[in-house]
Amino acid sequence: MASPREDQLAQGVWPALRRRGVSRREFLKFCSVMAGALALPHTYADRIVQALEAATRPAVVWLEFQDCAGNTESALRASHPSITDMILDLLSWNYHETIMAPAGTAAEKSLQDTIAQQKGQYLAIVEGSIPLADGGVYCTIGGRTAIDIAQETCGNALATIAVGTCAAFGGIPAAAGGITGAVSIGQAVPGLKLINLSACPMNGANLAATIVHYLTFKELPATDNLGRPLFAHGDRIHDNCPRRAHYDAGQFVQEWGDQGHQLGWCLYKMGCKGPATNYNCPRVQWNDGTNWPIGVGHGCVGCAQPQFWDAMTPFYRQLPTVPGFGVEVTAQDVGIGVAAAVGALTVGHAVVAGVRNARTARATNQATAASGNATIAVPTNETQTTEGQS
Amino acid sequence: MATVVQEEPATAAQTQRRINLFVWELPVRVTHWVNVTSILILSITGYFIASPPVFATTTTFLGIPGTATFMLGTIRFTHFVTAFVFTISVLYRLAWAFVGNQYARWDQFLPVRRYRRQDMRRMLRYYTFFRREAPPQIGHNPLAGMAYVALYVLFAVQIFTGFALYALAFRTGFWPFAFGWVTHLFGAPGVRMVHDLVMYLIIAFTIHHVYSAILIDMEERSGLVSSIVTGTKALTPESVAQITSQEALARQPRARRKAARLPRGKAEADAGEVRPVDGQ
Ligand code: HEM
Ligand code: SF4
Repeated sequence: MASPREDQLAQGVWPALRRRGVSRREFLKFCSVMAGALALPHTYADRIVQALEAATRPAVVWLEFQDCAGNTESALRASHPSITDMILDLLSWNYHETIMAPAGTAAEKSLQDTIAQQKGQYLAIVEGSIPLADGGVYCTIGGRTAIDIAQETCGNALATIAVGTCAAFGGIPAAAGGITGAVSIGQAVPGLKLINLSACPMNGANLAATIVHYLTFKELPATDNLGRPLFAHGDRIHDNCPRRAHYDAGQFVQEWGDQGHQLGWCLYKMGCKGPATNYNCPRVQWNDGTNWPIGVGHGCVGCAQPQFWDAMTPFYRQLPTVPGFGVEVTAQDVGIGVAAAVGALTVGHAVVAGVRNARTARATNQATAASGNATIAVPTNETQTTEGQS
Repeated sequence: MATVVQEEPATAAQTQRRINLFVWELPVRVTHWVNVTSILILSITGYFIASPPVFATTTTFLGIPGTATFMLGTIRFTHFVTAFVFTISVLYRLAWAFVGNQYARWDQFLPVRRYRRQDMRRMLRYYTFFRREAPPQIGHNPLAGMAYVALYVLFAVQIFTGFALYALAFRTGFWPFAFGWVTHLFGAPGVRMVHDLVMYLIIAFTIHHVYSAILIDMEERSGLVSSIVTGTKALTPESVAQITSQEALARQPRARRKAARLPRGKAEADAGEVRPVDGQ
C-alpha cells in the first residue's frame, strides 16, 4: 500500500518528467531557469524544486479561436532544457486541438468531461481572439460559437491564461478593417481570473514560468495594469536592449545594410518600437536563447502591446504618418508646414500693415502741412503712475 | 514707476500724455519668461529626440572628449528636467488666473463679458484690415485671450503626451497610473506623433505672438513689448477713460446696463471707430 505522499508523488510533475526520461540534473536546471525567468533570486530554485516534486499536474484545456496556432508553436518549440517536455509534463493536457489524439465528437467530449468532472480545478488557456459580430458566427467549433465555448470553459476554470496578443488584446483580427468584431478573452468574458501573456507569439518560457509560479506559490504572478505578468512585461525592451548604448550615443542605423547596421547600432530610426514595448525578449530570447529580433538587426515591432497592428505601424518608420495626409508625410513635415504657413501669413500681414501705415502717415503729413499748423508738441515729462488694480 | 523721458523727435501719438499702469504682476512675468525659456529648450532638445543626430565617427562634442558617447542621453535628460520646470510654471500660471490681479484673471481669457466679445470682433476686424484702430486695452485684448486659451490647450496636450511617454520607462507606480491611459488610448507611436506635431503648433503660435505684440506696440506706443519685462504699460488718458467706463458699465446690474447701453451702431462708433487719439 503506497502512502498518500507516495501516491501524490506518483501523479506529480516530477515523476511524470522522470517517466519521460528527464534526468534529475535537467529537472534542477529547469527549475533554476524558471526562477530566473520569474526574476526571482536563485535561492528560490529550491522552493520551485520542492513545489514541483510535490505538485500534482493541473488539468488544462487549450482553446483556439481566431488564431494562427503561433502560440502553440511557440510553446512547443520552447526547448531550454527541453521546456517543451516540461510544459507538456507540467500539465495534464485534456484538450488541445492541435496536439490531441482524439478528433471530432471524441475531442469535444474530452472538453465536456473536463468541465463537468474538474469544475473550478482546471486551467483554461485561450489562444486567439473571439468574434462577437453577427452573433459570433465568424468562429464556431463543433457548431458552437467561440464566445459560447469561452463562457462555459473559462467561466468554470480555476484561472484563464490568455496566450498571444489576440487572446490578450484582440490582436490582428481586431485590427482596423476587421469585420468580425474580434475582442480579447478579457472583454468577451468579463470577470475571469485572468492573466494576459501577450506578444505575437508569446514566449513559451513565459507560459512555463507562469504555470511554475502558480504551482509554487498557489497564485498567479503579479501583473501590470494590462493584466500582463510583471516578470515578463515589467521592463521596457529599450531599457534592456544591448544596442541602447548606441541610442544614447546617437549612433543609428540609417539604411538597411549601412555601416551602422553592420556595427550593430541602434535601430530607432529604422522604426524600432522597443521604446514603447514591455517584454522580456532581450533576456529570455528565442530558439533556445539563440537570438531575438533586435539581436539580428531588425527593429522591435511592439507585438506585446495592445493594438500593435494599428498602433505600432508603419513598422519601419520612426513615427506614424499624420492621419489625413499622404503616406509619405511625417508629423515633422506637417508641423513645419503649419509653422511656415503662419510665418508667411505674418510676413504678409506685416507688409500690408506697413503699406497702410505709410499711407496714413503721408495723409496726415499732407493734412498738417496744408493747415500750416504743425503740432509737434513738446514731449511731456510728467507721467502718472497708477496701480492697475481696481 | 520710471518716468519716461522722450528724447527723439516725437510724433503726435508719442507726445500724447501717458498714464503708466502697472498691469503684469511678478508671477505673470516670471511664468512668461520661464515658459519662453523652457519651450525653447524643450523644442531644441525635442527636435533632436525626434531626429537624433548621428555621431558616426567621434566621441567628442564641442571639443569635450567623451561627451558624444551619451549625447542623446544628455539631450533627453535636459528635456525631462526642463519638462518638469515647464509643467510647474504652467500650473502656477493657471493657479494665478484665480488669485492674481484683474489682468491675470481667467475672465481675461474667456470672453464672458459682452463688451469683451464686442472688442474681440473689433480686434478681428482690425487684424483683417477692415478697421484702422485696435480697441484700447489695459490687459489682454479678448482675441489674444482666446489665443492663449488655445495655447494652454496645446500645453495641456504636450504635458499629457509628454508624461505618457515619460511613463513608458516605469513598470508600475505613479507615472503609468496617472498617464498610462493616454498611451493605451492612442498607442505610444501615436502619442509621440502628437507630441511632435504640437511642438510645431506652439512654434507657429510663437511666430504669430511675437509679431502681434510688436504690431500692437507700434500701433499703441504703449510699451507693450517691454511691459512683459517691466510690468507697466503706458496708455493715453483717453484710452484709459474709455476702458474704465466700459468696465464700470459691465459691473452694473444687468437692467441698468441695458438702459445705459447706446443703440448698437452708435456704441460701435463711440467705442473706437472715431478715436480721440490721433492715428499716426
Ligand atoms: C513645450 C513643450 C514641449 C515640447 C515642444 C516638446 C517637444 C518634444 C519633441 C519634439 C519630442 C520628440 C518626439 C518624437 O519622439 O518624435 C519630445 C519627446 C519627449 N518629450 Fe517632450 N516636449 C514638450 C514638453 C514635454 C513635457 C511637459 C514632457 C513631460 C515629461 C515631455 C516629455 C517627453 C518625453 C518623455 C519624450 C520622449 C523621449 C524619448 O523618446 O525618449 N515633453 N518632446
Ligand atoms: S534598437 Fe530599439 S530597443 Fe534597442 S536601443 Fe535602439 S530603439 Fe531602443
